Amino acid sequence: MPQTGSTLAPDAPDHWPALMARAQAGDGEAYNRVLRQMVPAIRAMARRRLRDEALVEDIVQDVLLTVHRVRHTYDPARPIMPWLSALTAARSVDATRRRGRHMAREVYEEEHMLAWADAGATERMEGFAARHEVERMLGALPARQREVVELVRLREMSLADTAAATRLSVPAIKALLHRALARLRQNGGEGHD
Amino acid sequence: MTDHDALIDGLSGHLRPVTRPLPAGVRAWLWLVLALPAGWLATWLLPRHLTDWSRPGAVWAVLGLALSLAAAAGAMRAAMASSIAGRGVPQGALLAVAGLGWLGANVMGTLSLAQPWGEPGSGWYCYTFVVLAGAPMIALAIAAIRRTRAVRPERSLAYAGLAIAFGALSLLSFCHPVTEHAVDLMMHVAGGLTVVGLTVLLGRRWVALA
Repeated sequence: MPQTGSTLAPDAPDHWPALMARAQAGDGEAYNRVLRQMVPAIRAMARRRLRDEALVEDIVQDVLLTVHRVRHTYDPARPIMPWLSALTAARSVDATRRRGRHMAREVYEEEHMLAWADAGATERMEGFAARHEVERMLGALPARQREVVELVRLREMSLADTAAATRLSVPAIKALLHRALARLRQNGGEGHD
Repeated sequence: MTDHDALIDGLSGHLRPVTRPLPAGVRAWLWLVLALPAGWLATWLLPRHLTDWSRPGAVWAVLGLALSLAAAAGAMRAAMASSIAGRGVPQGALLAVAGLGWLGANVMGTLSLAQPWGEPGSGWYCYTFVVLAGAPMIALAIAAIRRTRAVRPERSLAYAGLAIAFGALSLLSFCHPVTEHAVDLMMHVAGGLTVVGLTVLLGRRWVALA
């Protein structure tokens, strides 16, 4: 049974290499502890690069998934902070680029639209706008969250099938979906103010 | 941060043991042991004439061969190490010395010729040989780096491409005159650069940390 965050020492990086070594051997409890203890450190490192709190939390989640994916590459004989810091930096850069690309794609040229107005285009434009809106909102999500939303909500796959397709556990899929939907609601709300 | 807790519980709930990768140096040697024969086999598609090592200038060719093998091993070690988060590039200076030494040995061999420039348009055989020999090595390198994935895939793949280029050039020295003209040498370098580019281009999608 995993321990809760409140019973753990929040800043014990000296113990992380040993906990990671146990996690690499398959000890889920040690893994649970070390991941929980890493969260504040990851958050602090991400905050140094980004001011957007929602994005920082997305990066924290992305880094946790990345740590899980490459946990075998950590060598417990070496200090853990350079490893974790490099993963956080990589994920922060990815998030910044993704956000930059997303903002760069949003172009609105009113003069051209008025000059080339098509009376019968309303229906087509509404359909296009709806699709574009979905793409825009999904595009703002981190890759993992977007993948999960696409599989579960758009392709209507079951949680179990999604877990199998993404090689994650069902609770991890639920957590990703929860976070993605919360972010979509937040973005949607911002967009309609 | 309840949702992080839920994710952590999910990730740690059904944890399986994992195997750590071998040290970068060992992985680099294993790659060399597999990649060089694979590259040599790929060049069966081309007509080959084995090198006459008794010709004048062979000493530069032997030195070039030794340095290209050292550079291949060093570059692949750098590729393996740099693919892991938080690791630097080990012995980067030695790698640079080996690479520049290879170029120096080849230039010295070229300068020992009576007509060092050679015929324009020559060297296409060598170019094709390097790219052909590099093809299976690229596949093996991508597979090796995919084991750990890469935080900065372009950098790791560029080092891997360098290793493949030097590996292919070391194979070329077994079926090439001991000295080459300048035009020929430029085609060797062009072949190496093509291999580096192909490695980065083909491998980026496969080794990137998704």
